[in-house]
Amino acid sequence: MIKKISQDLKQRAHHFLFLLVIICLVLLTVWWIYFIKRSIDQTHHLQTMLAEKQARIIALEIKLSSSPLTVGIIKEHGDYEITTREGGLGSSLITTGYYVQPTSDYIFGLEKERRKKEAMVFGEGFVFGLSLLVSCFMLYLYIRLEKRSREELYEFWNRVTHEIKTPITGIRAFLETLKTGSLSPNDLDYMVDLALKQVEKQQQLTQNILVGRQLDKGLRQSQVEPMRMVRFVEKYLENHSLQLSRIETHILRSGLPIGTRCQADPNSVHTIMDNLVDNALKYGPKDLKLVFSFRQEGDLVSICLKDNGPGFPPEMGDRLFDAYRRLAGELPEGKHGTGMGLHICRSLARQMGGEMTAHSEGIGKGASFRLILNKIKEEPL
Amino acid sequence: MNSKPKVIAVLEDEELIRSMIQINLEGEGFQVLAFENGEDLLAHKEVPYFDVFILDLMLPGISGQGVTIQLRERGVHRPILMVTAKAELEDCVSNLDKGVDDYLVKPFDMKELIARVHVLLRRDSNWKCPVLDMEV
Repeated sequence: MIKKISQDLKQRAHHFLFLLVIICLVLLTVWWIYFIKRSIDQTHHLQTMLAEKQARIIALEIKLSSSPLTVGIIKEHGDYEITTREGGLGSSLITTGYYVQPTSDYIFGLEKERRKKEAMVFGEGFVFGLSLLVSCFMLYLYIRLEKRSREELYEFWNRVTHEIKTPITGIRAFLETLKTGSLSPNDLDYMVDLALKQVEKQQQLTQNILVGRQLDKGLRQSQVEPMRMVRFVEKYLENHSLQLSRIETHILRSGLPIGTRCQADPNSVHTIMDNLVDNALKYGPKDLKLVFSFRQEGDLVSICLKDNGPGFPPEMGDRLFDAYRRLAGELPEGKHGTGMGLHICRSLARQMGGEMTAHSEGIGKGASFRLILNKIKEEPL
Repeated sequence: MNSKPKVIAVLEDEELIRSMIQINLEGEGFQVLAFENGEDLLAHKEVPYFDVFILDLMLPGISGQGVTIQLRERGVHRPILMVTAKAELEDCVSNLDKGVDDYLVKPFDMKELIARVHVLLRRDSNWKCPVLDMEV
């Protein structure tokens, strides 16, 4: 229990850190506002004291000069006045019934100045605090994003490690067993086929890692050329008859006029086919059926691979193509794969000027993957 | 007198690895029951009588760790050897915590796997249920 709590705390450490930073920033801003406000109050108090002292000096000067007293603003000291009312701020006695004190305008001016400074400090403090909070929040978002991508990358390499190690383990075990001579001639052929499948898997994984890296770094360029897609798919199935020996495959040629060609890079289309077929084999049922169909829509040609596999929620179609991501919890658990295959497919399709889409009616209803390419306009003879 | 061969359950989804483990263990004189997924293994009626379990960690459906937990919950305390591609210390510790007795990282040497099975069987045969001895 304690271990779980400590693990939870460790996982949420950045949340707590963020909360602590926010509290510190709020406290810092409040302290800063309080500090400036205090110094403004002190300045105001000092100014008031100075006004009182000045009133006393003026009262003394008037008394010494023995000049006649007239109620009203003093000419030489515009901010002070002679009054018969006692008790105003800084009021100072000249002679019985006559006082010197700062004018109400002067006092009002001092108060106004204080309020202005206070408003300025509160405004500045608010902007300062807000900008600190915004920066902190942005930093938090960045850290969270970084953490998530690090976790995704970690998961991705975990899957890659598994995908690399598993075929090696099988092949190694096969060779060791072969060396001991414990394989019967009947088993041998079958095991050789299994080992060859593992080699093919390894080859495809290596290819995917290389292509993925080239695409990420922008190093891969498509060499598009006119391609007859129906012929290409037929040949592909012929060449992969061993891999596809246990499944049912159909090619529906009718959707495309004979001789239709499109702009495509054979290597890229091959990689796309490898990934689509491999995914179908990986996630599909034992009685897997693959149907290849073709369609022409205006200047576009689409090649569709439909399977009777587990499918996926319809709204997830686009997320399947995210880099290094597998739909955790939304796909069959424990199925192996790196999560980079479909991302590579879409990147390659786009590089050829085409597109790649995925569609499913829902879980358990199969899926279809469509590669859309540009059709070549044939010149009339 | 010929003693009854020890029964080993092998749970591995990759056919080649599964078959190779089976062939090699049978060559050592064990009786091997191979399973492709955890559900099939757990549903087998002889589960409490298997002498050693060799489980792959990453499997379709229930994982090797899930199988371990269920076996221990059912009171099956026979040795479990986990075979996995995950080599991190944390994974190893987590599996040992869940009730796994030994841990072998892929790719492994078949001789090492066999040796570890022997060790687990030897250790298991020395294990006795603790009984309180009281002199009356």
